[in-house]
Amino acid sequence: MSGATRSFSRGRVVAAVLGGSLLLLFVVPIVALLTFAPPSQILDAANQSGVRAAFSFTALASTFALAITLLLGVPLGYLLAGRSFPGRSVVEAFVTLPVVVPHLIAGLALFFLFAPNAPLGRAAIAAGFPVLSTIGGVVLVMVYVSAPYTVVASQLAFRSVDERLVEAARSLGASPSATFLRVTLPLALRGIVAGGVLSWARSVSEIGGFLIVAYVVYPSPFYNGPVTTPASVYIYNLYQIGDTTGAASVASLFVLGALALFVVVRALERSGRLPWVGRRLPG
Amino acid sequence: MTSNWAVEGLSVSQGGFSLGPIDLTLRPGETLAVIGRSGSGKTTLLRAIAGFLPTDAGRIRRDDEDVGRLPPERRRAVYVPAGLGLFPDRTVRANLAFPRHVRGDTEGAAIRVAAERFGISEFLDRSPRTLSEGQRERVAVARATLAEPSILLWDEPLGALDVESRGDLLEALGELRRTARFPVLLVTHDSALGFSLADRFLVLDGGRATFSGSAERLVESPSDSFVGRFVGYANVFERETLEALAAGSALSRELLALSGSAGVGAAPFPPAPAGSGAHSATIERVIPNPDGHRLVARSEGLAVVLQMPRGAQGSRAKAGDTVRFDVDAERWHPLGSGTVRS
Repeated sequence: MSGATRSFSRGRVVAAVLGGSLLLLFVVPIVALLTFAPPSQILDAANQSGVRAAFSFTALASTFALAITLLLGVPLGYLLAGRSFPGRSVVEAFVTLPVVVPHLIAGLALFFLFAPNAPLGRAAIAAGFPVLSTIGGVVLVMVYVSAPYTVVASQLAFRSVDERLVEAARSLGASPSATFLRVTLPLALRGIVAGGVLSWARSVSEIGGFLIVAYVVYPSPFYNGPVTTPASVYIYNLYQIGDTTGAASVASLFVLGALALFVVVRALERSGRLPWVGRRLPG
Repeated sequence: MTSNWAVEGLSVSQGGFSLGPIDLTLRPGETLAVIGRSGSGKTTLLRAIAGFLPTDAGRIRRDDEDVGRLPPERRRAVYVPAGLGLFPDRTVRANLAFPRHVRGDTEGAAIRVAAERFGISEFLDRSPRTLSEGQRERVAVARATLAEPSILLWDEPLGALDVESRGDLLEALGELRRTARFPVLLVTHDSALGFSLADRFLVLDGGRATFSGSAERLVESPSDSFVGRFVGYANVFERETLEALAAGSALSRELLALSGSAGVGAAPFPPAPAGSGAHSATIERVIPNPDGHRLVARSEGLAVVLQMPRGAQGSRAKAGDTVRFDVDAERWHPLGSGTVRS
């Protein structure tokens, strides 16, 4: 074995030890959680109507939040990836603000904005779309805390598209919109989807903002289910009343569900079966 | 459809760099090679004609139409960027179909014909990423022709090709040149490609055109040391270098007397017969070639390149040996003084 190969192998061992330690930090607490409650109790939790309501509501709210995040975040990422404009660095600072501001504080800020005695809160109630303690409030919090991931991922994805491909497409006769739809967006889509997945994960794992804005969720436009709470708040409540086994059971369900979804998304991404993502060759 | 193209007084500013004013004309089927040092404005010129850079002044005409105000997709000026611009997420077939599809033409016959013509039929369902550089270049040429260009703007063909692929692609480009009814404007650092394909040359230096004319004129009177090297002079000395050395170097004084405004150049020349030669040089490198050996030798601070014919006396010269030579005025050509502008 040559000296270079030997030192390379040594480097890999050091990296594996250091990286493996971090991986243990990720995995061991989850194993502790999953083994805290017996499997039968986890299955029981899955059949409880309160748990189902909280999980269904969270799935619905996070889907709305993801749609809004993609609709608004991808265009912002596209703008930030393009030519410089006055105040771009300020915009970029605002985009990352939700990541650094504690989410309890973000919840407080949204609460003050949409409180019944605040102008915006009054207007929302008058329009029939109250924000506090509704799916609207939950979605608002979710978008606030999760959109930065989509914006930044989209910005990086659009920036990574080789400008020469765009110029080649234009000179081959494609209009700016056709070039965007046929060349730029497909090439950036992998990064955008990765950002969307991260945003969705951030949405469902949120709790700080919900505690202030939507601790309990009542039926309202876009949600006509039972009174419930977001899944994270549901788990927190069980822990607060001392039902640690119940909290561990529902938390295990949450983690297993999230893990399963991630595994499926990654597998689809790798196989190229996710629409337009990965090895999109024919067409 | 065949068109004459003309660029009249074109000026472009980009960052701190200014190009122009540039004047050129291109007839259908004609190939013009743009050459010059890195950063001389070659790619800027192509991108300006393609419509990707705003111009400060001048006109770009296709026949009688001023296309300078049209967006790139309406100029029919097909630009092949350095790196080729093939879409990596599409198959070769989809790359070829792209210029047709954006115009609403989904008929595949033209694609099959182009694939056949450029020898890429067997790669149609593969990703361009899986092809060799030579095959990718063929796909780029085929795709460009399927766009039915009014002019082809090609930045650095043969960018990173091995010797075999180069020959292969040169053949394909030659075929394109013989049959194409559109003019081709190509940027190249490759003198073999330039002389194989181009009818005329445009030399850019620092954003300004220093030469525009035929290959013969380019070879007869290189405008500067870059062109001297491009046309094949292995010995190129800039005037400033010779002037700086002249006080202590008889060789520099002799070359200075033969210099043009930019300097002087010569192809590799044979050493003087044994026992003669006004100048001596110490051999630094011996490079074998089909004609014998090329000697890189140093004399009075100047590196001169000599050609030792195969089987010549002393042909087994090695580094450190001394070689003698004369400055034969017949072999040395002034650079710069004979600049031709058209």
